Formats: sequence, structure tokens, C-alpha cells
Amino acid sequence: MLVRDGHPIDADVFARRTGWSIRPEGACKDDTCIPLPDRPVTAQSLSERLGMAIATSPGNDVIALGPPSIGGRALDSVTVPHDLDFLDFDDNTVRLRDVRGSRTVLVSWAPW
Amino acid sequence: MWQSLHEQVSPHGVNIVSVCLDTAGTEAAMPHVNAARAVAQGEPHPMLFDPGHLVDEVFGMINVPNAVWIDGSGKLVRPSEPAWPAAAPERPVPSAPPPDGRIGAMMANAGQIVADRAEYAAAVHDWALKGASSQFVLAADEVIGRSLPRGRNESLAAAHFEIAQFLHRNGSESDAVEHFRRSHELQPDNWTYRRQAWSMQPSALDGGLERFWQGPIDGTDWPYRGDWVSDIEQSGPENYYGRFVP
Repeated sequence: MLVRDGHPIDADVFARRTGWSIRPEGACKDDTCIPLPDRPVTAQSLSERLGMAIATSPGNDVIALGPPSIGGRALDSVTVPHDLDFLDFDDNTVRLRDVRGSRTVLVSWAPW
Repeated sequence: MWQSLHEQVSPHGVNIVSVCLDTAGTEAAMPHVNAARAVAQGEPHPMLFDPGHLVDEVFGMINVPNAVWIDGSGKLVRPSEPAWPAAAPERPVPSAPPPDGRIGAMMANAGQIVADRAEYAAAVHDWALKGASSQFVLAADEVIGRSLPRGRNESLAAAHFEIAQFLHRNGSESDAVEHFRRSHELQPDNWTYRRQAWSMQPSALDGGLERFWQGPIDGTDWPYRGDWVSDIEQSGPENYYGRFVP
């Protein structure tokens, strides 16, 4: 997740990307809330509390937050982020939940 | 082929949703997308585009094709794993030996890749018919426990991969390569990070196969430590995809 260095985290974008919502009690997913020490929320506090590593690029004012590693596995929950969105091939934003059927096999592929 | 599986299982309530990964844009994907649209018996299955490899970080996908199963309440019931729409088609035994050089090595290694195609497709059919009572539906703790390990290194690999994509989109190619390389070092089992980066380098192939060269061209510099042939030979083509675990 790209963030302007030193700027606060956009809670909506953060929730769409990670499934973690930022609430008064902290960063929350399912029944778990991790208290956050600062408001507005910074990349540094998320990095520290959720195990989201930070990569920087000298000369650019953006930093990247890696995904949470707090549970030690790629999945920290079985709940798919509610507003996860992609593009279609006409460059329109498509929310996954709008194209899912009652049950879905979501499969990746690539032309390379 | 995913379109065909979609048409077989969607009447039973399972939809196939395909997600194309390509930082370089949609151009290379369009022939495949149009082919799926052309053979569709009715509405094509939903085909999405993911230029930022969101599925890598959200679901832990590390190669293509990888898939997850999502039930009707939006919960994962299988984690990311190698996925196939059908058993492999019968192919005639080649009468000529493979060519020399890189193309021959690519063909030889590709021919030794182990993939549980029939077993995976059968599992999808079973889920379509039996729903939550399918033996292939996993409990939540099993889904999480089977997902790949993710520590600080894997999180940092994803962060460097995202910075690399940002720099690539902004034309800072040499800086992008540095961050792609860092992501490869930090998560060496992630083939999508490597194949994506390699596929954006110059190719000696043409005719629509350009993106599959993924390695050095004689007489030119290659900016990455590995390439598709050397890396698959090092790890073993039989390990390129994990085995299907029911």
C-alpha cells in the first residue's frame, strides 16, 4: 500500500486493501482489535502493531507498507475484505463482491 | 478453459472469477480475454485485472494459476493453492528432440512440471455438487494454517514489489529493477514477483510469446540474479507448483 511519506493513513483505502478497519479502539478485524498509539494513524504505528514492513525509495516521497504479518501466515482471517476491488478490461473499477456468485473460485493467471 | 469450467459449475452455484496479473498493462492479456469471450456460451465468466498484484498480498498467491475458494458468506474455505480447470489434454509424443539453447531448456523444464490438474478440477466439481458438505471445504483454522508463512521478510518483499511497480509506472526503470531484485531476495518462493519482473525485460521471442522468454539474451546485460530456466532448474521443475492436498 503506497502512502505519501509523513501523511496520515486513509482509513477507507486501508480497509479495502487489508480488511482491517480503523476504529476508535484501534485496528480491527473480525473479533480482534489492536490498539494504535497515535491519531491520525501513521504508517509507523501500523508497521509496529500489525507487522507491516515499510519500504522506501530515496528521492521519492512515497513509502510502501507491506501486508500485515501479525499472525505469521499470509491469511490472518478467512474473511475476504468486504470492499476489495479490481479493474475490468475497460479500466472500470469492479468490486469483487459485486461479481461473486453464491460461491466463488477466484483464480489468478497472467500472460507471462 | 476456465470459461468451460465456469459453464459446468455455475448452474450449481459456483462461479469462476479470473484475475489477470500484469504490471505492464492489459495489452498482452487481451487476446486471451477475447478468446474466452468468443467461446462463451452466454455471459462470459467475470474477468478482472489486477495490475498491482493485490491477490499476492491479500490471499498469499505466489504463482499463477493460484486460486482461493470463497463461500456465499464471503469466507475463504480453501487458501491459495495451484489451480486447474481440467485434466491435461493428451499430447502426442514429440517426434523431434527439443531444440538446443534456451528454448529447448524452457521446453524440457516445462515438460517436467508436476501439476495435479485432474484432482483439482474434480474438487471444484465436488464443491459445486455438495456445497458446504464437500470434503474439500476446510475449517477456518485449517484455511489460515495452510496459508503460506508470512513474517517481516515476506511483508517487506511485498512492499519492495509495490515500490518497484510505482517506479516502473513512472519510468524509473533502473530504480524499479533494484526494488524488484530486493523483493526476489526477500521472498524467493514467490514466482509471481520474479516472472513479472523478468517478463518486462527484452525478449528474443516473438509472435505473442515475447513475455515468456524471461531470461538473458546472448550479448546483452541481464539485471536479475536468476531467470526462469536457471531458477526452475535449481528448485526442480517437480516443485514449481505445490501438490494438491485434499
